[in-house]
Amino acid sequence: MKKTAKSTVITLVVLIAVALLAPVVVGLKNNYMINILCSYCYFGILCCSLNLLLGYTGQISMGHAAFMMIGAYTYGILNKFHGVHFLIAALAALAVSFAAGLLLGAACCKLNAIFLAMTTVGFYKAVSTVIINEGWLTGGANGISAIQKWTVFGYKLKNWQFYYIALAVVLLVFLFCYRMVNSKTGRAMRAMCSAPIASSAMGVNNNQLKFLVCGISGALAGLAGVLYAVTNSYLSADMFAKVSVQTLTMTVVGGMGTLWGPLFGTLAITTLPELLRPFADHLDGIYGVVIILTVIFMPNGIYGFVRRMVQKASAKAKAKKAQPANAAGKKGE
Amino acid sequence: MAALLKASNITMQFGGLKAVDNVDMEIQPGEIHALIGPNGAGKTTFFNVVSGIYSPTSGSVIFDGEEITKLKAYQVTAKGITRTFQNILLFENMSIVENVMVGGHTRTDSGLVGSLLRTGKSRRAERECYENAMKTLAFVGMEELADQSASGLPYGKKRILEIARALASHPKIIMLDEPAAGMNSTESEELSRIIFKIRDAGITVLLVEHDMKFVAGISDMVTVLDHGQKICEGVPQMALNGPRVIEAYLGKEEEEEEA
Repeated sequence: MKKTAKSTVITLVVLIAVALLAPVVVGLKNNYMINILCSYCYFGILCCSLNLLLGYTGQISMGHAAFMMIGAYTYGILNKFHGVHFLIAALAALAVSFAAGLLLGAACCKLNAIFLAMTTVGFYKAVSTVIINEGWLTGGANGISAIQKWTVFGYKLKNWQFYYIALAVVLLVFLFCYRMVNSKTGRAMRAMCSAPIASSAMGVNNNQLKFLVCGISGALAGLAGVLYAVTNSYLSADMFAKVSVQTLTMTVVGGMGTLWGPLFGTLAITTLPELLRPFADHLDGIYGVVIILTVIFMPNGIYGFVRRMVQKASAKAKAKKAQPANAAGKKGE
Repeated sequence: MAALLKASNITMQFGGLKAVDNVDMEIQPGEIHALIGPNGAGKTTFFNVVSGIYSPTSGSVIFDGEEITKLKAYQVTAKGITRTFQNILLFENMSIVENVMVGGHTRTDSGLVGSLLRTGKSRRAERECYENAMKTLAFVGMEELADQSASGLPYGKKRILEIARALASHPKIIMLDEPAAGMNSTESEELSRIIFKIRDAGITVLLVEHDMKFVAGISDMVTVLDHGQKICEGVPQMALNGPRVIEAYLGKEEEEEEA
């Protein structure tokens, strides 16, 4: 029975407060900044999705953008080309990307490590090629443009209002992941990640678990895709080219296998390209360097690094407190 | 008395090598049964066949009147057979109590949807799983370490933790693969106490072991394997002193020592 630590609650409250105030601070009409805030949301979800797979289950996906694309395009095609209500289109996007996740699950059952990584890269390439070439379905190289913002009971949501919805979705996803990793399923995931033979000897059906996690991970990435489609109101295959690497960077830099890691990673790495606009052409290289430095100097990511610092500081403070008390005690004797 | 575990004509072939060759073995309920033999005799392979990690080339395994030959490892565990590993396979990234809770996986009745919605049923199941794990840790005397990370344990304690993890699945039979390997004498005395306690709790024990003194002191029955074949079976004094057993361990003069 895990008790939620006080520091966790405080961090969460602070983060939520900042997230709630952010649109007001940047200005509700500042669509550029609001869109960046929304990008935190969909990247946050994407990282949670990859983290379930990579951090908790030990399955590598180097083509996670594929699931995001599948979700985004399913939504875009249904909503824009066929006039399907946004909610139904979003649910359909979840279902389709869940199914795509199951495909990845099949790969996970047969392949490991580098072979799985190659397969997922190939899967991403295949999905983007299909999207570019099957113009009748996806709009092809022209993409899908002018995807509508959501309209609730005849009221068209403004950008900042959509941001709050996206934020609510992120919080739900975070709660989902929190409960999932602390459940029987989550324990089995971590066990399989650490010692697959032992986990199956303890009664965990490894393959079934891989399918389940891949499906869920795919669906969450698809959900991120829906938010992406609505935020940018435009889709084209090449927009996703850097997303896989970016997501991987966020998850690794933040600290995979922890719930907080991906959130910190998202905040850090989504901010980076905005700050590094002048170097936009070299972004992939910068990500590479950041990953290498992280793996060497902070193997547990930003989250692991911060936690270690906090633990050290509190241990020091405790030692300081204990010392005068001991001295006083000795005098008393 | 009907055997709890009955392995008949088990053969396990890897390419040209018969790691286990036509072995019959019966384990009676409530006994401590040792499986011994020189390195490469096929003991661990036999374990892997029974626990469902390998599917045997031929032969059958009957457990508690049920055929389990073709079952996968996770299904075998659900039937009531559990095991530990020669090269300790703990979940190093998890706490000690969590390791044991994974052991209770098949006995925990909470689905993912229930856990996501925090239903009363799933919370109850989780609490039971946790309490079962703590009870099991207390059984092996490790309850005070529950919240520590499994990776930080000393070697001997890791072996004990593996046993606790296996016990958490409420098995009918527990298979210990070289439980005393690498232990000092204090640790292995502690281990025999725990094994006797397991037997007294009504759980049958099958163990692979190299330490002859340990085997002689603890087991009710000994089976000796050599080159994949059963060469002897009986009570410890008899089995351990049989001429073929001594020959298998010490070798005949002209025979080369097996690596």
